[in-house]
Amino acid sequence: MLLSIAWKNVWRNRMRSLIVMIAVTIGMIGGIFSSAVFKGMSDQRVKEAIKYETSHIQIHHPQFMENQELGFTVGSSRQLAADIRSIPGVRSVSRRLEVPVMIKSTATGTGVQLMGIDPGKEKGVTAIHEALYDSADVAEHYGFTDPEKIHSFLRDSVGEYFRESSRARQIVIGEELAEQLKADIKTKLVVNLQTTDGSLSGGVFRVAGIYRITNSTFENTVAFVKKEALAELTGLDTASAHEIAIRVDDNRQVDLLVDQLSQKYPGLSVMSWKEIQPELGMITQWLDVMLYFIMVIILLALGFGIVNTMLMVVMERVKELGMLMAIGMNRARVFGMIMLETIFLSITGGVIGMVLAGLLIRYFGNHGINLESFARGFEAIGYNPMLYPQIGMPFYLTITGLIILTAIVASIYPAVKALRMNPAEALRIEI
Amino acid sequence: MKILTLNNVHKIYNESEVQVHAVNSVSLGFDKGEFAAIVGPSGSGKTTLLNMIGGLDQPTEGEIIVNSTNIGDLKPSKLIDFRMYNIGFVFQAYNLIPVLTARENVEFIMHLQGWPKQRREARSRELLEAVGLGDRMDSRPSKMSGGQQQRVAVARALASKPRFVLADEPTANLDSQATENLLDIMERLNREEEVTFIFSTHDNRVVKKAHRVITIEDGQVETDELQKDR
Repeated sequence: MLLSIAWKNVWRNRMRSLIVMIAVTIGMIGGIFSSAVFKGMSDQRVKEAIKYETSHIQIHHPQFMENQELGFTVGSSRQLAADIRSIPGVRSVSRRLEVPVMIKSTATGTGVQLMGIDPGKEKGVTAIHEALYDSADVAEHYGFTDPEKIHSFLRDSVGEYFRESSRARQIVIGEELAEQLKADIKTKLVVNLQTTDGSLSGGVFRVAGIYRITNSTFENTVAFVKKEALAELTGLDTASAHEIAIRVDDNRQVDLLVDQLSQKYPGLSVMSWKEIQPELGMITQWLDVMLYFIMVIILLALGFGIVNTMLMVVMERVKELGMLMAIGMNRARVFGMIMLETIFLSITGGVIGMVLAGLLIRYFGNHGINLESFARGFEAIGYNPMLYPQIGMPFYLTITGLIILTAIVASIYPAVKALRMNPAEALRIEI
Repeated sequence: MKILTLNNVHKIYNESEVQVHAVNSVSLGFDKGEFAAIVGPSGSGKTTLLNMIGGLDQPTEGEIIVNSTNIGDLKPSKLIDFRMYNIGFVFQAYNLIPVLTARENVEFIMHLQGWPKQRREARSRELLEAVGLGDRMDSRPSKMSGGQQQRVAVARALASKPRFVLADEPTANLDSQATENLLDIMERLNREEEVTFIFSTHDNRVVKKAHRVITIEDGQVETDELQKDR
């Protein structure tokens, strides 16, 4: 009966209750949706960083990350890669040479990190080959419908990933670097570097493809050539590697595999993507805390509104509460009734807010939020201007718990105020 | 054997450094089934006396004994239970729970006492029919007249079969017809349910119906007379 009375009491002052519920609903939509946007952004960033930049795990010579000396290789990299590939959970492995170089066009020059890769193996680890150009964009832009024509256009005008059969020195650069060097497909670029014997060497590479990802810094500083070409220029053995990049089946296995590999190869440095790009690790670790913090602040603000409303409720019903206590309703029941009313008031708005926020997240999660007009800013910090909000079920469950907790906390002061009343005095009050 | 005894009860309020002796050395006894009116002008101490009898207020001095229990000795939590099981209240302003129907209002105390649903329903129907509201059981207080609401309040006060019912100016807000009606019902239920009724009033129509009239003035009992035999 207490449940029924509390629920009916909520609707005694319909307008006031609706205002509180609408406030809670709006607060919930705002909090959950913005959390979903942040979460979606962060997850996208992490996914894209793993997909295009770092892969899941990298293995280096222990000193390589501090000092990128040509000689800091991982030893017998072929055998190492084969061993790692056989570990359950490992999807693919790529051996890379990684050399800091100067790259020049006829217009200008700049320093970049040149990655010497095996294109076939690299496709299994990162997806730069998918980022060269979007064929759908080409088709839409030029009105092409024939796949052959699109393919031919991509090869001749937009570029392609390394042609396996080609013996020419090809280079794949980022769009940002291409703009800086004023380079285009088939533009010749000169690469200068230091060889293993300390002398300077150089070579000419022709731009085979221009990749475009959401991280303009990466685009501007990382270029790819075939491993044999880089080995030839530096004097390194093609069997050696500065970096073993590993892609795993499930991101959740990364920490486990890092431990496993660290134990297996104690002389090498094994790092997960969180260690390679610490800012990403920090984002994923702290974002959840921040999102809950945002929700707690919103709920705290709503909580004060709820306290105010419930105080009004108690003050308006002094006489009735006095009567209830007079006829035998004990303090625990009076407290429970006020608490239930507060919970109903809060949870109704909370549930409506969560449902509406869920629908908004579902819609924008499928269609995305296009912030193309801020693309340069987003890409400068590695984020995709097309945002896909997303949030997990545990977040919803925690929010439900937080709303109930807020309601309970918010009900304490009004309920205590009610309990302090003397029934005889309360009955005398004229309202 | 008295079901209610007041021994030398005093109530003193300290208001702005002035002591107000609201009830002054009152000693009374009530038998089972009495229909007694406490009469007096406004401020004479009627309500204070009823509040103390009902355990809503504590005497400054003296004792109130209900069936050999001195209610002044009860802890607050026990006192609430004591009120729930022993005393029915009828208030001047009806004080029904506005979100509940007449039947639910009557069942409320039985619910607090943990009565099973069937018994609650049977008892509430019996009482609402007894007060002439058998056809308004599912009406909310806002849809009822003052007289009807006060009859629901009487049914509620009797619901859990208390030892006595305290009614503070029960007819103050009612017209003469409704007052007559209510008094007849209270008198009949007093007889049928064998429950002691003690009510405060300054309404002569009520006084005429009472079997025993206790006149109180300045907190002291002036007269205590039997008008009718029970």
